[in-house]
Amino acid sequence: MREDITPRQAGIFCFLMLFSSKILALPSILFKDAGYFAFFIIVIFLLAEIFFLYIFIKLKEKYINLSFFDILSKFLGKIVTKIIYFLFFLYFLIALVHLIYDNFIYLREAIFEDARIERFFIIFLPVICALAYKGLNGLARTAEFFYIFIFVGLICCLALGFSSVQIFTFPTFENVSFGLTFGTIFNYFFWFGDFAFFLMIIDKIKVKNGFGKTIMNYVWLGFTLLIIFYFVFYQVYKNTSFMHGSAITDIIAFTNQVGNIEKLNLIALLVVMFAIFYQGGILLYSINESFSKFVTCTNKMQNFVAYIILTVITFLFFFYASQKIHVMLEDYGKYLAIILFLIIPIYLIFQLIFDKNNKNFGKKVKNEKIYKKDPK
Amino acid sequence: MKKFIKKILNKPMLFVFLVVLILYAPIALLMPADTSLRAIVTRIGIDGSPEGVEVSAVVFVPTPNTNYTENYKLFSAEAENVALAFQKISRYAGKKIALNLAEMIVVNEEISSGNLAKVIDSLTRSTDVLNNVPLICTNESAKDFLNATLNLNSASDLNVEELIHYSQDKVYNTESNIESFYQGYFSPQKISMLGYIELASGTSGITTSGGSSASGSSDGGESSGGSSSSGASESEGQATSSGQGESSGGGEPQKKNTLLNEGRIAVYKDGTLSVVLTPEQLKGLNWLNPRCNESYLTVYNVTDEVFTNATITFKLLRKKLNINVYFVNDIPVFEGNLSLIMEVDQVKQENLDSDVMQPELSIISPELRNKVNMQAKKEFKVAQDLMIENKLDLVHVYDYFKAFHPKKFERFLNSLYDQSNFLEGVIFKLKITPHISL
Repeated sequence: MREDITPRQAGIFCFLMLFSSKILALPSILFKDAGYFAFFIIVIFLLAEIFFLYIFIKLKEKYINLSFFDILSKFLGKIVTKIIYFLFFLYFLIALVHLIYDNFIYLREAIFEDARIERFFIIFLPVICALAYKGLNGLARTAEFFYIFIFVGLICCLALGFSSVQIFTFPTFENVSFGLTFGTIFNYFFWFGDFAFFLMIIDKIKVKNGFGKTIMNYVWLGFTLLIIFYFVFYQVYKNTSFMHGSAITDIIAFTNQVGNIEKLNLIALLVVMFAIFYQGGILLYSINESFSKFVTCTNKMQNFVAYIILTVITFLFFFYASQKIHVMLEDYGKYLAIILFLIIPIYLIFQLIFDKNNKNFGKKVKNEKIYKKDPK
Repeated sequence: MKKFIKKILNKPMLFVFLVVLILYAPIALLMPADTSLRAIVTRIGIDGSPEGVEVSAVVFVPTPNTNYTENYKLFSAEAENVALAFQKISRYAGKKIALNLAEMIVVNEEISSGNLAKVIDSLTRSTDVLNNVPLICTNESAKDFLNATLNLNSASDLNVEELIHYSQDKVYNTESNIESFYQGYFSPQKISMLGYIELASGTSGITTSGGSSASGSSDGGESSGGSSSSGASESEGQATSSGQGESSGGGEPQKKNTLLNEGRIAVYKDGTLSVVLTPEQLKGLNWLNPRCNESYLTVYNVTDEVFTNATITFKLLRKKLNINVYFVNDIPVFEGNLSLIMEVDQVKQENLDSDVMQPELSIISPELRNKVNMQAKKEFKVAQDLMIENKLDLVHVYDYFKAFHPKKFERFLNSLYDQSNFLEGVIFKLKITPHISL
């Protein structure tokens, strides 16, 4: 089964993952903690993410055909690499659970408030399982096809949101300090590992001239849209931004550009529904890639079933637990995120700078086959 | 059959689809209409009561008819809070309350004299009620107000929701909904403004056959698609009709069945009703409201080359407002620079001549410019005095100074004996440049 994807498809993945869990509850949660300064915090986070993606792209350029597992193994050894992959697995698992949780709450409020979680699983899980199981190429081509709908939907939401702003006001920054800023950045680290999946598919991206530029173009486009989104949200709601947990729906609630048509949230709903399938598919694929590195199964299906069951159990644990997942992410998830998205990327930067031995890299290295049978 | 089953098992997605179909299709096909399970509330009224609150809900009742009118019933219940009151209404109606289609919320002055934010807290938390639902204040009880609206039951008829939308854009020039209330409540100055529509007697405004009870000449019930008239007097938990009241002898107070939009606005400070602005005060305030682009200005005793002791009414077509805030000798100055585009709407003069009928006003005379300036400042002074007297910062003086001169403004506030009265120390300036539209 073909597993390689084009740079354009990789760029689309990055674009979609940039919006993962950032257009629903995060704007209001950040505002509650940091007030209007939340806008600058989001800019800092996104720029840091983009910088680390740039490092990953440079890593790809240097070790063209090696997987991330092979790259790390060469310098850290297999055992440490497997531990790191286990941490990545944990991260992707929690990120997927977080995605399901946030979107289930949103869709339940928006469509049918009496819906139970089983109904959502029946709709959501088979689709993302099919997307992830069928391979990266299938996932990429489907995402490429639906990307334009998601993009147009986002533009519509932003345009309607922009028209909802009555007067642009200069915000007042009360009680802003470095301590508050860095404290907030530290607490919300988990939310910003959007490009971790890139490391899982790094060896599957076809290398062409300007492939890095293609990917970064999509990322900058996503960054611009996301920044405009946050700006519009904070301008529409101002002091009451903390009260709106479904940001993408709420920014189009007040528009008066289309007369008395009030229920325009269908546009936001469709954007979210399309996007979560691909975000879920990418995360599930990443779970597969990381899981398969430290757990040996006889065939791919066994692998698959194992981590699907694990995902459902983890989700139900959070869903029925007394502590909300957001609080869990703030209290514990941030430490995992700091290891994966600060320490490892910094290590990779040093690797790129100080590793001068290019002789063996660039040659196609046979990936370790862990399946006895052909994955197909 | 074996082939079919084998085919399905080879295609997992088809298998999943069949499972979903078998599980959910019967439930979906047998599910009753939502209107038989849910009471669709279109308007909500909240009054104070000895128990806590009295919530009134206008419920849409689907009834087939050929008159293009809709059938509404009014339910009300008293409880400790709004959430419990809705529970009671659910019981009385025998259906689950659905608030998704609520188009209006009315509160009265009595409930507004407490902290309104606490009263409507339940509506804010509910995901059914959108925060852009209009929220208004009324003088009489909200229940009587809703009773008066029961007969506005045709889609082509005048209706209160359109009245509120119009007022938000053209009269108040500010939003009057749950969101705007909370935006003001959580702002540094904690000031919110809500539209004010009176329930009055008389024929000005939208007259209905509903309204408060106590009229001898009741309508005898409307049958054509309107609310069903049961003739029952209002009692807790029962559906009430419109316009039906206890008949009594002569000398009783006049029935209040007119929805009167005078252009008044209720101002809340920290969630509590502080003052209700008169139309003149609102007009003065709107000079410094960037959203207000349409208005009228009347200047008196104008004498220049064209007019002689004339009273001229101008229609304001467009307004460009530029706010400047600065300090002069540590005294804050709040300056509004207005560029107005106006047209002559009415001239009242003793002798009208051709010049007056077709004035060449491409260049406004200094006299006329002066009159316009003075009149606008006079109108704004009314609002300024109100703001200072009631300690209400209705033009966001605090926000502007905090945004552009935070440290100086902080020093100014600290120098005051009573910081809540800071408006007394602020100098307001209004510079107007009128232009006549050609």
